This record gives sequence, structure tokens and C-alpha cells, in this order.
Amino acid sequence: MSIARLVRWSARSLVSCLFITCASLAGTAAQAQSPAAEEELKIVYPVDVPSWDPTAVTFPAGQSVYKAVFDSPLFIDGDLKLQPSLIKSWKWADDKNTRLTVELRDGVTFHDGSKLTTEDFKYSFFDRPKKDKKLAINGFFGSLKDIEVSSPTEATMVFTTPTPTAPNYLGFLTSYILPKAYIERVGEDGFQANPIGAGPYKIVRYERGSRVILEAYDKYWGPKPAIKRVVFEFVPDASARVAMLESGRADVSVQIPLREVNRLAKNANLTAKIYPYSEIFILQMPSYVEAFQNEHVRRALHMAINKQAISKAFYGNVAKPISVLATPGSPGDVPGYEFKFDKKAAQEELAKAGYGPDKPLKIQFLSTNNAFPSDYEMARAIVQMWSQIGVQADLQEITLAKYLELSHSSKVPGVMLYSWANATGDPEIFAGKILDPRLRFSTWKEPALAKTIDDLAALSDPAKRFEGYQALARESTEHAWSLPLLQSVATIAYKKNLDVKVYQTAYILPAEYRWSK
Amino acid sequence: MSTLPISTRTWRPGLSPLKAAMRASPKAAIGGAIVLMLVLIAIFAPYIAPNDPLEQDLLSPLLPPAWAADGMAQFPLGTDSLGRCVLSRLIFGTRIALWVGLCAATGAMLAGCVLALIAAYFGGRVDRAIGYLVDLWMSFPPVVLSLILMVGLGTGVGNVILSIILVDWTRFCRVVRAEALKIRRNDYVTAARLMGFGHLRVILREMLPGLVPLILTLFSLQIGIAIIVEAILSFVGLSVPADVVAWGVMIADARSTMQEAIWTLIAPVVGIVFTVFGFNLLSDGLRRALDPRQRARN
Amino acid sequence: MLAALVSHFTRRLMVAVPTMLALSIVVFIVLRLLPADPLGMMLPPNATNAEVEALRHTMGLDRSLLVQYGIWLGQVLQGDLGRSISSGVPVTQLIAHTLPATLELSFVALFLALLISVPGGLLLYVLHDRRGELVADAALVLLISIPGFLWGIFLMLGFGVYWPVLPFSGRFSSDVVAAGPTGFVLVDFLLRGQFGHWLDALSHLILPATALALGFSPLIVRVLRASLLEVSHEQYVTVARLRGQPEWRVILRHMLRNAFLPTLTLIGVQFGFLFGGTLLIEMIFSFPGLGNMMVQAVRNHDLPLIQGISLVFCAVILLINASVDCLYAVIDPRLRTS
Repeated sequence: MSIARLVRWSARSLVSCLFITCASLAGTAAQAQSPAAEEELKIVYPVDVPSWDPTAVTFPAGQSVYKAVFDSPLFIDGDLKLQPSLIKSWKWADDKNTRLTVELRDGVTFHDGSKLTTEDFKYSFFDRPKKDKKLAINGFFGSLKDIEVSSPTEATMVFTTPTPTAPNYLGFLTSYILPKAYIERVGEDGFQANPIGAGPYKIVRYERGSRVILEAYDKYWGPKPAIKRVVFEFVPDASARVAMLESGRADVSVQIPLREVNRLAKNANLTAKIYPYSEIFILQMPSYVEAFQNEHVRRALHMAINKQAISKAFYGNVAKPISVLATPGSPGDVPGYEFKFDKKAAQEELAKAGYGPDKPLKIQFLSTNNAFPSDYEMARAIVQMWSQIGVQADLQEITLAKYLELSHSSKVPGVMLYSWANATGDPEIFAGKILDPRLRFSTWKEPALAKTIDDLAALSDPAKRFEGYQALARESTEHAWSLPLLQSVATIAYKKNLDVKVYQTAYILPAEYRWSK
Repeated sequence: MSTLPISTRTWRPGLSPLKAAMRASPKAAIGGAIVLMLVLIAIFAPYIAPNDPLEQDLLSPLLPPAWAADGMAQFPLGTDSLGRCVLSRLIFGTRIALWVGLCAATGAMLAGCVLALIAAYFGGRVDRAIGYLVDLWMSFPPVVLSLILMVGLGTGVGNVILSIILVDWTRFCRVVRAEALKIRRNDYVTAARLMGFGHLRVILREMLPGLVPLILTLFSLQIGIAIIVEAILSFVGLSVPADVVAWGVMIADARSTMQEAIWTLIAPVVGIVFTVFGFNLLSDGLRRALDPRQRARN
Repeated sequence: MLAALVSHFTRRLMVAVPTMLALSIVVFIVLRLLPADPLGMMLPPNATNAEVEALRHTMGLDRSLLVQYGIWLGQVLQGDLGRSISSGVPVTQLIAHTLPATLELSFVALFLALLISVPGGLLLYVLHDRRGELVADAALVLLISIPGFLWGIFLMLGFGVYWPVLPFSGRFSSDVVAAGPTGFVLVDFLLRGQFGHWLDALSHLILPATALALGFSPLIVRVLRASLLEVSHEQYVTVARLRGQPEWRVILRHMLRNAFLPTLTLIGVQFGFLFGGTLLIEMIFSFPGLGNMMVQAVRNHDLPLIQGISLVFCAVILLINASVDCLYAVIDPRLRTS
């Protein structure tokens, strides 16, 4: 009898618990039924922006979010061509490529209604970075000496050395025009709390680590976005991103695991795509670690990697193997040049350095895990391939932050699997930056290359420049200073009734999406 | 009124109560059996496992278990995203799990017990100092502390073990100290001191034996905890290198493929839960059976 | 009585201060063990070594460890926990935004844990020396063996993916605005009468809180059962039984109150465990709380943020311990004197 009483008491508490659950379920179900305004688009995105100052950090993964709120002087389109954006036209004022005259579009306003003029351009690209050396934009305009403002729409950028590629950088990472008057009025912290830009969307609400809610800016200078309200939900977990799309809680899901793309493609309500874009997977070699100073070793490591097998296993055969530090079809690519996978040749090459299966070479290998799709898997596959020629690679998982720290202090202990982003497709930002020994994040320090790269950077004839870079890229592969692996691929999945465009830049631009009926 | 059983034998700490305990408590027996089975699996892993746990087959990733439609008999539990045999990895994972568990538990036990005995024996300021140190250490959430330690120390099996020892020694210290304080007050300990025996001898000969059952219980418990902590660290990505087969790493890997290949998740989960279950059962059974108060009541 | 309680509380808090100091030293030192240079990420790649040195000097990183610690401590005492390296936002601001979320999650989890474990503990006690005890016991040990984050994965798979009835990411939906006085959405929405939003917030809390609770409950059940067994032999219980009171009343009226004390101690001691468990759960459920931020900070080697969050974690736990101590004194009159 007493037990029954007890059981009843327990049951009562459990039932009340269940009641609360059901009530909330009903509540959520009711809410889910009422469709969120058809005009709202929900994009699940893998990363949150570290800061609302887009000029402060080089953060390729967050560019899509920045591009919704801020506009750049120039824009790199789907074919990797520079297009006018806030800058209407640009031309070199001298034949030495040290004076670039730009003409800004008229009538552009920031989200608070204030006009965008060359004052803001000068502030964002010159005054502010000069004051705060920590801003990453300093890294891309190091030779900018001054910006001469001649009118509210015309200005001239003055460089200390010939910089024919300057326009590229005007559309690249960290290049955004910020509101001078606004920032000076509210201060940096005020700007972080309420950021405004000149982009197609303005920020309604930002919940750090959770989401940013955007609303179309009605006075945007360009084509007005078809979808008035966009929410970027920040969900770092890849399987959660997939689940949200499948359960209907999201409309677009970005950077989902490659295998899930095939599975989602079978879903009648969804479209799923894998597409190549302007980023390459490379293996960074540290020139200050003894094991890698022998060229035979490096070449052997390169020859032993079966890139096609990796592409097939992890990238649905969409990722193209590359033999030089450039994406296929880009100006820095060397068509027809192939560094073949050859296990036997790799073993012979390694033997020349005195190593082999009976005397294995021990090296360290670093890779991120989930920083880019299938990174850790690819690293482990490469370890296996190397073990077959007599190289014992000790693979360690590492975060991007830790790698950057090591690389900046030249303390990288081994090979590093890295994904190199370059939305411009220009070889200067591929081979040029990867191999420049003066940059604190290059791991291969070949001092002679400093002059080679400087000379190339100053060439005003694009054809000659590309030729030079092709030669450099080829030389780099022959000497195995940095090993090119594959062109990266991006994934996206979205509701079928949504009209989505994908680009080689991998930008997610909701301003161009529309619901199709 | 029930008569209290009067024990005719004097209470002698040692190993024989252990054997009696195993007989009396089915929990300890089952737990012990599970642990023994795991140890055997770990030792004979190369003979039991059907494949090499590190061997990748890039052409056959995510194969389902052998009994499913696309499964292959060569891979009884299917393969993971790199084409490695799940069953073999499960079996070999036992090695690291037990190794990490054993080393971490031993280290924590040594560190914790030594300090506990010193605190209990010397009492006074030493005891207060050590007690304060333990309290201080325990005001920190263990997960956060392990994370920070791993950031500072770097990854690797050794560092994982070190990190667990540095966090969990307090568990041993606190519990053993409480019990050791009680034992310290016993007459035979004071007698030994009065007879002029050295500190070390008194601690080892008079105090320690009475603590052995408790320490064993905690030891078993700690192994289970160490295995879980390794899984947690692997989950965050701060644990062992890629050539080490660990269940935590298997879970972390399986997360990106779990909707498509749920068995890659289930296998290591079962491994962890089952192993920890075995150690917890053993620990529980030992505690119950060796607790003199409970034995008297039974 | 109230005065005695307040002085008890303050005394506990004062003991906590040196504890926090010592802990901050430990965290500071451990983080400085990092072999690489945290400045690496803060400057653009073409910065010269001179610029690196200049930054190092500005940030005081070229001084000795002791001086660095002193500077940091001085700032902390003025309420300045520094700025996050990755975002440049003041650490105090970041913590202020996320701490309420995690606290709320922990408290809801604790509530759920008690809801599950009190009946559970009673049930197990009642099954003592009866058939089914072995099975129930084994089930309990099995539940203890399942770590909290696994519950998180299962729940997300179960109720988020296979049977998508509950949201499994975020704190509330995008059309909900949280601007309440307390920062605890469950309280704020109630205060403002927004029941729809309240339900929305609750539905987002259920899965992560349940995962946490399921990881925590078996421990409470075990302690509750053990203490109920202990208490059942006490004199006043035997007296109550002899007086003819029905068993259930004996249990609920007399035993539970006293058996609850060790449980309370466990909760106090293990709250750190619960609070730390939020790290993984928040990671799995993309819940914007302190735990999630800590994991990101650790991954990004964001030292000021790691230090700040560690201090806050520590402070919260010490506060909870002090409160539990006082609660103990309230419940058990025997402890009130002294």
C-alpha cells in the first residue's frame, strides 16, 4: 500500500514534467506552423564574425557576412573578374603604376543616410590603418603612401613602389569602405555595438555566437535585394547545419560535409551542390626544419601523394588535382604541366636522400580538423600514402590559431596542411604570397625569391607578369618549396524553390537570391 | 528484534576480505569479469581484430556492417570515413583506453594518497594547508581545467594522462584524507608512534592497510572517469595524435557522418559506456562489500 | 538568525578571495606555458619585426611574468578583464552577454535533474532488499557510465534529426528579441507577459538542459538512495514507524528532509561538474553561452578571454558553494551555532 502511494507520488511528478514538455512542444509546433514571413531567408553559416570591423582581420570564411553589410571599392565577380562597385572607374595616372586615380559612385549612402565620399575612402584605407597598425588592411596596402582627395568622388592612391595589382586588392579581403564621420562620432566601441556600412543589408540585431538579422537597405545604390529579411544563423557544428536544413528550420545551409551532399541531393525538396572555387589545398614546408631541407625528401613527399584518389574519396571527384600553386584556369596556372603521382619514383627519390622502408624518415605533420571540409581525413590519407614509401609522419591535430602562432614565430615543427584562399585568382596572391620569405606566415624562406616577387609585382604588363608567375610556380613545384594538392570545393544545399547563385569566389550573396514560384 | 551478528574474528585488513567480497557481491564479480575481459581484449587485440585498425581503404569508406545490404564480410562492423575497419578500431581502442585509464588512475592515486596520508598523519598546519590546496583545486570545473592544461601542455597521450592526473588527484586526496583522519585517531596508530617507530613505518604499516579497500574502489572509479575525460578531450580536438586509436577520436570523427553511418558512432559509444560500466560496477561492488559497516549489517 | 547567516556567508566569501587569487595565478602560468607567440595573430602578415616588438612592448609582454601578472591583477581589480584578441571586444562585455545564458541553462538542468532524481532515488530506496533491486542498481551504474555529452548527441539525433519536434540550436528563434532586465529569458519573458516567447525560449532550453540533467541525475540518485538508507536506521524514524505512521509518510515527512542534506552537499560540490558540462553541451547545441565561448577561446588561443572566463567560472562556483553552505545551515539547525 505504501509503495503504491510512493509510486503514485513519483508518477505525479514525472507526469507534470511530461506535461511541461508537451505544452512547450505544442507551443513550438504552433509557432512553426505559422510560417515566418515568406520574405525572411534563413542561412545557416559555419562561423561567426570575430569583429564588426571588416578591415581588422583577414577572415576568408566570414566575407559573405561582411559583404552583406559593407561594400568594397571593387567587386570580384563569379568569373574572378574585377567589377566596379563603390568605385565606378579606375585608371593609372602614370605609366609606373604608382598613381591610381579612382572615381567613386555618386549618391551612395551609408545605412544612417550619410553620404559616402572619398573622405570615407581615404579614412578607411589610409588614415585609420596608419593610426592602428594592428588592422589587417595594413598588410595589403603596405606601399600606400597617400590618398589624394581631389573631389568628393575623385581621389588618387599614391604608392611608394610600382603596384600594378593594386586594383585586385581593392576587391579583396579587408577592403571595405567604413563611415568616417560615424566612427569618429560614436568611437570604435560604438561602431562595434552598432555597425553600419554601405552594403545591401543593414543590421537589425546581432546576437554574438548566435545570429545576425539583416534587413534590406532601401537606399542601396545597386539592385535592391529581392529578399527583404535575411538571418545568418551561426552553427559551427556541420551535422547540425544539415539537420536544420532537413527539418525545415533553415533555407540555405553552407559548408556541409561532402557526403551529406549526395544524401541531400536525393531529397525532393532540396538542391545540393558541390562546386570548385578559388582556394587551394597545399602542404606548407618549413625551411627551418632539417628534415625538409633535402630537396629529394620534399619531392618524394610530393610524388607519393595520389591526389586523384583523395579527390575521389573525399571530394566526390569534383576537386581537381593541381600541380602548381594556382587554380586550374587561373592566370598563374601552367596548362599542360603535371607533376605526376608515382609511388615508385617517390621511393627512388627518397632513397637518394638515404631513407626508405627499412630506414624510415620521421617527420611531423600538422592538420586542422574541420577548419575546411575533410581536412583531417585528407591528412590521414596522406600519412598512409607516405608510410608506403618509408616516411613515418606523426600527425597532430592543430587549431588554425595555434598554427598561425607557430608560423609567425617560425616554429612550425613539420608539414602543415593548409587551405589558401584567393578570391582574386591572381597569381600574386597565390605563389607570390605563399613563397614570399619576408611574410611572417610563409614557412618556406628562400631569400632569393624576395627580389623575384618584387620584380614581378612591379611589372605593369599583365602578360609578362603572368608568365613570370607561371615560371615561379613551376620552379616552386620542381623544388617542392610548397606542395600543391587540390583545388578546394565548397558545398551548399538549399530549398528547391529558392533561386541561389554560386560563384568561384564562394561568396554567399543573399542580395541576389529570390524565391521562385 | 534481530540479533546483531557478532564477528568472532578480529578485523584484519588485507587481501582475504577482498576474495570474500567478490564472492559475496555479484556486482563486483560481474564488474571484475567485464574488466578482465577488456584486459584480455586489449592484450590479444592483434589476434582478435580482423583488420589493421590504421589501414585505410579510400575506395570503401562508410561501408555498413556485414549484415546490411552493402556490407562486406571483411568488415564486420563496417568502415569509417577513411575506410578503416570499425571493429578493429573498437578492439584496438581498448588498449589506449585501458592504458590511459591505468596510468592516470595510478598517478592520481599516488599523488592524492601521498598528500592525504601526509595531511592526516601530521595534522595541524600541514593538514590545513593540504586541505586548503584541495579545496582550491576543486573550485575549478574539471573540464575547464583539463582544457586549459591541454592548451598549455600540448596534445599527446602523455599529456592527456598528465592532465587527468593534475585534475583528479584531488578526488583521491579528499576522500582518502577523510578516512585516514579517522584511522589516525585509532589507538594502535598512537601506540605505534609511542613505541618509537618512524613516520614512514607508521604510515605504511599501520595506516595504509586500512585504506586499501577504499583506494581500490576509487582506483576503479578513476579509470572509468579517465576514459570519459579522454573522450571529452578528443571531442574538443585536444587529445591524441592521429595514429593512436582512441574511442573518443572515433566519436569525434563519427559526428560528421552520423546521419549517414550511425554505426560509426554507436560502436565507440558502446565501447566507452560498456568499459566505464564495468569499472563502475567493480568499484561499486568493492565499496559495498568492503565497507565493514555494510558487512556487519548483512 | 539572519545576521548569523549573513556573517557566515560573508566569511565564506572572504575565504573565497584568496582562492580566486591563487586560481588566477595558476591559470596565468599555465597559459604562459604555450610555446608559441600569441602576438602572431594580432598583426598583419607583412609586419616587420620592429612592429612586433613594439606591440609586445605596448602590451607589456616583454616584462617578467610577475610584472605581467601584477598588471593584469591591477586591471581586474578595476573591473577590466582586457580585450579579446580575436574580436577586440572587452572581455567583461562578452562575459556579461553569455553568463546569464549558461547560468539559466545550469539552473534549468538542475531543476530537471532534481525532478528526475528525487523520485528516482526514492524508487531505488524502496526497491532495497526486494526483487528488481539488482536490475535497478545495474541500470543506475549504467546511467552513471554515460557521460553528459553523449546524452547531448543522442538527444540531438533523436529529437532534432529523426523526430524534429524540438529546436537544437540557439537560445531562441530569430523573431524573438530578448531585452529583459535580468538576462534570464525565462524570467524576462514572464515579467513582460510574452508567453509565446517564453515557450520559444523554453523549447530551446529543453534539449540541452535535459542532456545536462541526464548526466547529473544518476549521481544524485545514488547519493539520495544511500542517505535514505542511512537515515532509515535513525531513531526518530523507528519511533515514527512504531507510532503507526504509514511508510510513505515516514519517508516523505521525516526521512527525505534529512536525507537531502548529503544530496545538497553533492550538488554543491558537483555544481562545478554541472557547470563545466555546459562546455560540451553548448558546443553540441550551438547554445550561445559561456561554455561555448570558452571552447572557442581555447581553440583561438585567446588568452585574455580564457583568463577572464576561468575567473568567472571559479567565482560562480565559489558563490554556489558558499550559498549551499548557508542553505545547509538553514536546513540543519544543528549547524547554526558557530
